[in-house]
Amino acid sequence: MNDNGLNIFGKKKVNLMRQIFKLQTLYWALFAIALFLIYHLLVKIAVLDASWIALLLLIPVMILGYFLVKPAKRRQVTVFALAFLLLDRALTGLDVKSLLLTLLGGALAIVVISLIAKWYGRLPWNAVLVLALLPILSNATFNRDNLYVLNHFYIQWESDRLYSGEWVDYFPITLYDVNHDGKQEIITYGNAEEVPQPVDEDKKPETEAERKALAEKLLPIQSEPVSLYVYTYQNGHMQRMPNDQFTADQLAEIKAQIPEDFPGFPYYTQTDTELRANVQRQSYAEGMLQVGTAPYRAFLLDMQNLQEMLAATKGKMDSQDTFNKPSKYRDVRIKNGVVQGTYDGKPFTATTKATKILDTMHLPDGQEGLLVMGENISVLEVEPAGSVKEAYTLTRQQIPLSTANLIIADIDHDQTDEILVGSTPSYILKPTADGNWQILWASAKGDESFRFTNYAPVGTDTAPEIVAQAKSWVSAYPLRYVSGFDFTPEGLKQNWKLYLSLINIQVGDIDGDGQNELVASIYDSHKLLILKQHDIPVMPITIAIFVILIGYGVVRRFRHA
Amino acid sequence: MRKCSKRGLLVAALLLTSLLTGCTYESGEKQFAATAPQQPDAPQTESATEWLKTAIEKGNSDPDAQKFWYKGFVKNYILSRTTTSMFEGAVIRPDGYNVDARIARQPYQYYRINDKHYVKVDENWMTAAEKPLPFDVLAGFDDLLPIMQNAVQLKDEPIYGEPSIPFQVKFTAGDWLQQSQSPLFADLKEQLAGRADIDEILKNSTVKITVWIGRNDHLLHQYETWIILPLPGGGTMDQQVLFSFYKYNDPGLQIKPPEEVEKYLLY
Repeated sequence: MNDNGLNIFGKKKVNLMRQIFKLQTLYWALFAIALFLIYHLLVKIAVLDASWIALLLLIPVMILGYFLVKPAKRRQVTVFALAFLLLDRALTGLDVKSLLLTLLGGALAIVVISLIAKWYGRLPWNAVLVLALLPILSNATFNRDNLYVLNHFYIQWESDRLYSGEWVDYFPITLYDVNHDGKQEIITYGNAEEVPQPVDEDKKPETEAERKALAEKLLPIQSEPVSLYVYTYQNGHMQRMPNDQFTADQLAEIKAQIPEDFPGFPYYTQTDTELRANVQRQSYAEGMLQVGTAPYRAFLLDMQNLQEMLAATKGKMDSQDTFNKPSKYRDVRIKNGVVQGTYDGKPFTATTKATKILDTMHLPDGQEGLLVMGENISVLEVEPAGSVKEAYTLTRQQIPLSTANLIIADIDHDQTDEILVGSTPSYILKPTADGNWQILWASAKGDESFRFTNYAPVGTDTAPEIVAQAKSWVSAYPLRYVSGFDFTPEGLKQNWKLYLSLINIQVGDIDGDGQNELVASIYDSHKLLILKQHDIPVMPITIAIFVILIGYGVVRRFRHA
Repeated sequence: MRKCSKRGLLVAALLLTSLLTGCTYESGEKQFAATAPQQPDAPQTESATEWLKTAIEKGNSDPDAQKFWYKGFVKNYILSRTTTSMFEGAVIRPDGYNVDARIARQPYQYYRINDKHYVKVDENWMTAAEKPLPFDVLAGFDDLLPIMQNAVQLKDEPIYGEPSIPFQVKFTAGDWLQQSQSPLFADLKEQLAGRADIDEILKNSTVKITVWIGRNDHLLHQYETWIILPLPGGGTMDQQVLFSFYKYNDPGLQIKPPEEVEKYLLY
C-alpha cells in the first residue's frame, strides 16, 4: 500500500470514529431501547392478551409512526427498527445446546442483518454499531423470560434443568420449611446431578462392537435414577441441600409433603431412587397387538403397581397425621374400606370407598368437615355423638374428578369454606345448609385453560388472592398464563397476569423477606422458577416512553416542516 | 361471558392499558356439566354373544378380513396426570404387522413379518431380542363371549364410516376376574386370594367393556375398555383402552418387505 492509500484509509477511519462518537449514536441507542421496551412490554403483551384486536390497533399506529418520520429519513428509520427487532429475535432463537453453534450462528446473523440494513437502509455506521451491539446486550445480560412477566414480577432465580431424561414432562413441586428457619424450601425430583453426562452422543458407531453396544443401550426401555431435590435460599442465592445431610426421619417428613404423583404410570414405577421400567417395547407391542387381551394386560400392569403401593404402605390407602392448618382432625387413616382418626381429641371410625385424604373445611353449621376422595368426593362430618355422616358429596357425574385439583378457602370471608375446583370447567362451590352445593362461579364453557392453583397472599399484599392459570382474554389458544384474581359478586377480578405458561405453581416465602414469591416451572423444562412481585408501574412507564417517542417524532416533523 | 370479550374489548382496543388490568372474568353457566353423556336407549334386538362369536369366526376365516389398518391407545388418568401408550399400523395375516408406537412419550416402531422382528428407536433399526408372543390379533376376544351375555345393545354408530352395533357390559373388576377364564388372570387370581385390601379395591372399581361390530360386514370395528380403579393416595385411576380396526381388505395396504428394514439395520 502506498502513502496515498494509507492516507485515504486513515481519513476514512477518522471519519468513522467521529461518526460513532457523535451524539447521534446515543439517539440511535435510545431509539433502539425505546423500541425494545415498547415492542416487548407493550405490543407483544397486548398481542398475547388481545390477539387480533391488538393487531388491528397496531396497524394504524405503525402507519402513523411511518409518516411521522421525515420523508428523507423514512427508509433509514424503518430499516433500522425492523433490522434491530429482527436481529434481537434471531439471537434469542439461537441453538443454545452448543456454544460453538451459538457463537457462529450469532456472528452470521449479526453480520448479515447489519450489512443488509447498512446497504438497504443507507444507515450511518453509528446506527449499524447500535444495531449490532444492543441485541447482543439484550440477549446476554438478563433472563429473557423476564419480558413476559415484568409488568408485575421479575425472575428472581431460575434453576438449571433438573432432569436429564426425555419422557417425564414434570415432577411435583412443593414448598416446605425443611430446616425450620422460617423460609420455605423448594422440594421436587430430578436426576441431572445423578445421571452422568453422555460422552460423544453424536458419534456414529463404526465397528461391529460399537453397533452392538449402541443397540444394547437403545433397545430396552431403561430405568432411570431419580432423586429428591431440595433447594434453599442461603447467603443471597439458592442452593441444593445435599440429600445425605437429612436424617431418615427428615427425609420421611419431606417426602410426606410432596403431593402424590405417578409419572409414567403404569409403565414406570417411581421408587425412592429410580423410575423403574415395567414394560419393554417388543413384548408390550406384541401384547397390545393381541388386541382382545390388551385391556387384560393393561389391567395386570395396574394391579402390579397397585400391589407394590399397598405393600409399601402396608395396606394403607392414605394417612395424614396433621393438616397444614389449624384443624381438629388428627391421625386420619384409610385402610380396608375404613376411615378413622380423631376429631377434637375423640376417636371416630366410618366405612368409606375413598382412597385419598384431601383436606378439611369449615361447614355452614360451624363444624369442620373432612374431605376424602374415591370415585366421588365426600365431606365427612363427625357428629357430637361420635358417629360420622356424609354431609356433602361431589360426584364424578358433576365434575370430572379424576384429574381435578381442589383448594379449600374462605374466599367470601363468611367463616364457611368454599371449594375451588380446578378442572374443566372450574368451579367455586359453597356448601349450603341443606347439604347441597351452591355454584358461586364457574369458568366459561369451552375454556380449557382456566384452572385454580392456589389461594394465598402474593408479594406485598397481605390479603390472600386466587392464583389461577388462564388463557388470554381473546385468543382461543389454550395457554395457561398465571393470573391473580379477587373473588367479587361480579366474577373474578384480575389483579395481575404474567405471560408465561407455567405449571406446578406454588406460593411461599422463599427468601425470608416476609413476602410470598411464586415458584413454578415451564412444562417439560424441568427448571424451577422463582418469580418475585414488584411494585414498579412498568406498563405506565412503557406507555410514557411510547408517548414521548411519538411526541419527539411530532416535534421533529413540525420543526422540519 | 367475559366482559372483556364483548363490549369491554371495544373500549379496551382504544385504551390499550385497560386490556391489561382490571378485567373481570364473569361466571359461566352456574350448573354442573354432566361428564358422562347418557347413551340413548336402543331396542335390545341382537345378542352380543352371537354377534361377537360371528365377528371372531369371520375375522379368523374370511379372506376379505385378513388385512386391515388399526389404531389403539391405553390412556391413564391419575390426579392431574395423563399417561398414554399408542399403537398404529397395519395387519396382514398370516404375515405380520407393523406398529408406530409410543410408550409414555417415547416413540418407537415395531416390525414383525414372519419370523423377522425389528425395533426402531432414535432412527436405528435393531433386531428385537425378546421371545415373541404368538401372532394372533383376535386373541382374547373369546374370553368375552360369556361376559357379553349380560351386555346391552347401544344405538348404532359409524366407526370409520362403517355402521356398527355397540354392545356394552359394565361390572366391577372383581366380577371381571371371577368371570374371566383368561390364562392371563390366573396368576393374579392366586396372588389376590385372601387379600382384604385388594378385595376392597376390586369391589369399588368399575369396568365397562364395549365392542362395536359392523352391522353389514359382521367384523370387529372397535373395542373399548374403561377401568376406574381406586388407587392408594390417588383417588381413582381412570384407564381407557381403545382399539379401532378400519379399511378391511384395503387394496392399498402394504407392509414393506424385511429387506427394506434390514438395509438400515444397526445390529
